[in-house]
Amino acid sequence: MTAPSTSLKAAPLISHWVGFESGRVQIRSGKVEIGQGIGHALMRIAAEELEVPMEIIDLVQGRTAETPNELWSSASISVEVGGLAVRQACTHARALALAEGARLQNVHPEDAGVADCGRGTADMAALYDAVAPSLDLDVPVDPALSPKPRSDYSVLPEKTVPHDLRDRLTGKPGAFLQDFTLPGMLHARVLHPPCTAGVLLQCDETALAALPCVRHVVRDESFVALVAETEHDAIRAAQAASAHVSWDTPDLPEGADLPALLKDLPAERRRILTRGDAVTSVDVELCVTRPFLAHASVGLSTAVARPDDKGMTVWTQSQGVYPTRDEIARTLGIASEDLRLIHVPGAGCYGHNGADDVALDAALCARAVGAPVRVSWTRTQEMTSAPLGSGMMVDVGASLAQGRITGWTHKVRSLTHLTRPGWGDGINLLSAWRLGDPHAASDIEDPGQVPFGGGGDRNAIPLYAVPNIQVTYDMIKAQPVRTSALRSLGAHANVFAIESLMDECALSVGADPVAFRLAHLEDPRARAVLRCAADMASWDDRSSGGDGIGWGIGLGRYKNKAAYFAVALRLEADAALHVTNVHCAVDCGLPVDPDGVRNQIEGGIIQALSWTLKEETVLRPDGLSARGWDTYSIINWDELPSKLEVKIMDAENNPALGVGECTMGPVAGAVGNAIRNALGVRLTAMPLTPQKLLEALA
Amino acid sequence: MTALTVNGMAVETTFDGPLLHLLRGELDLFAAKLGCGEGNCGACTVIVNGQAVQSCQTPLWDLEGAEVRTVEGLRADDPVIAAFMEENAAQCGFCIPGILMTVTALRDQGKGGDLLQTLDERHICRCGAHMRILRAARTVL
Repeated sequence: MTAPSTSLKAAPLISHWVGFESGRVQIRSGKVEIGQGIGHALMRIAAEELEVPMEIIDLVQGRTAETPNELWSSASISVEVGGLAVRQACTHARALALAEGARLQNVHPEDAGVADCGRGTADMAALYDAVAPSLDLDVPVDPALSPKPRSDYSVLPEKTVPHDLRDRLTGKPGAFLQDFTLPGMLHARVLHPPCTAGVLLQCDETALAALPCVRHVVRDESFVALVAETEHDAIRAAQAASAHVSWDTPDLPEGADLPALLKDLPAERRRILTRGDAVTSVDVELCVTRPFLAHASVGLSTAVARPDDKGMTVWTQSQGVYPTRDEIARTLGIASEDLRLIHVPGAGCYGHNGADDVALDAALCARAVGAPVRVSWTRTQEMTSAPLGSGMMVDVGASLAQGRITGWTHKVRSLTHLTRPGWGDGINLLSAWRLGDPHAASDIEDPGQVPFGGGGDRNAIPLYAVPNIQVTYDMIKAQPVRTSALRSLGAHANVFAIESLMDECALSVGADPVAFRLAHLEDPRARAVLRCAADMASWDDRSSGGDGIGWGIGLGRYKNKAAYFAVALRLEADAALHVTNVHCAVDCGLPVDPDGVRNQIEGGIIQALSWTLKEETVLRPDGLSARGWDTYSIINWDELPSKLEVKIMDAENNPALGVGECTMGPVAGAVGNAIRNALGVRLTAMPLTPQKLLEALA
Repeated sequence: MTALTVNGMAVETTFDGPLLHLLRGELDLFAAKLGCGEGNCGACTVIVNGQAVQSCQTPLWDLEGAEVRTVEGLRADDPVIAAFMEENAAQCGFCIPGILMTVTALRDQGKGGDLLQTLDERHICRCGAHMRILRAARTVL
């Protein structure tokens, strides 16, 4: 028996997830589309379990009071947990429908309709339609019922075109929240200070109201928004507004020397793992750093709010409609039941960005003007007001004897990776802190999820078998800048550190990096992905490195409990650092949507290359260095690998695992290792730039 | 007053802002996206007189008599759209309509060899769908 999905706790009934009406199938999920393809994966799960064509499924995602409360679409668990709930509900619904069909026809359930005329999707769709009036789905999902084994899948080909792809490509109105309109809707821009801690010093409301095209000035202490008839007018108004407002902004600490910055901020030490004897000396050690990273979605954070007699409806791209609803309701002083949040996909989301904040911004504007309002942030606000992925520092060391690792230490230091709405007792929405009746943010607290890692300690424990180990997490509670969840949280830096150290250990004992890892690896699935990636790259036949061309390997299991991922890549180092070939293997259990898995893995690799080689935003006294695309470089088209090969391991009898975040750390490790192999130097401070390479070679 | 055609339809307008806001704000054509408004991301790309341009940086006063094409003006079975569908060449898809118009312009001009350089100069994809986008584009160029 499969364990019940934890999503079934809050929504235990089949009817919370599945319905049959008017010849169609309704699937309801609390997991939302943030560009990761979860909607299509859920459709595939439902079509296969119910044995119906995807075309008759209507999927509803992320609507308070209508869909199950599954908290956030995060942590790569939308398929693992949310998909499992849909699967278990569909399995049970199908069994009940077959039984009800038999009862109506007065035959044995085995012979109910479909058995006689040959099972097929049309027959099952007809069966659901026939039994719908008398079928009672208000019963708890029974997880003891076994879903179909993979060998019985018959409905879908391996590759299906996402049901909503054409709408997204061709500009269907409302396919993106940024294109969502309502009758009588106004547009607004909010004036944010240059850094999140800013306070409004002076605001000439008369001058703002007199700006051409401004319809309303919404002001509540340090919250100022300009409402206009059209988006163009709102943008023009916001651009002209800077002459009429001034902010008191505290200096940020100087962050060019990241280790110095992180060491200056007080931290609380947590013991993550202590096993075996104390490791008192190490033979190999590294200190690696990861800079602050911008979320930098290609779209602007957007929300639409419409007031009504009782409360408000907010269309949002939030990853968690229930937690964000509750915090907006508390800020507005209304009951949660009187506020409705409806998810509409926005541009790609890789963690906690401005989506929740702008939902409150829209609600504040709509309440003030008594009309529907769409608010988008500006490009600069995306870079400076949204939470950043925290800068991190990791000290790792290993002791060796007889060619094996005997001791391992890992000390990670980071700001928080979790300040989402719904996290803690406060209000984690930017504008709520600026109101005349302000709300405080929650106390900073990364969750203790040992051994999986809830924040900066994510993947701090190595996969490798070492007898003596000490892992600590120095958690910084100060917030000189706002930080929160960004794809893989601490795993990007932690796995970079672990994989860099493994290579240094292998080199110090003269072992092959893959063989050395295998010698310390007990988990058969981890061994299999590593071997597979190495074989794909013809690892044993590769050139020996040096002369500016090198190969690197990286391995990780996301959160130490989810998808396994191994990558072997080739890098050329000259005036630029160019990863030319990427060969990788992923074990995500049953791949629900194989092409979707490939897409996520490819995207994760490219974003990880971008983070590792190029991206950073630096704290400076007068603000963050990144203020737009011209000051925040990401990977460009001529920097892509010429070959990128993804192998999905045959692991179909294992439960499905999400793949959105598993690539980030292993790719970083592999890049660092390839540079080491290419030129004999170890770069430890991301981004790994040609400039740093030149300095290291000098 | 500016007179132009958008997807073959005659449009006369007194609007004097960037083309992007005429399309989205006045004509309800939403394929071209507002991504930065600063000419850096390419999400707003449309075709004007055969050339792919960033519509957020294209003022209306410069468009008297111009022929504007957007994704909405492509046929549903246009090979460019079909290629992107076939390759599932998107993640969130927000950057794709702009890229579709760049690819369409290169195809119509017979300048497929300029693909990489044009994307380099004009388009950002943040999700990392690049490999698929290139594959799809190259099938029609």
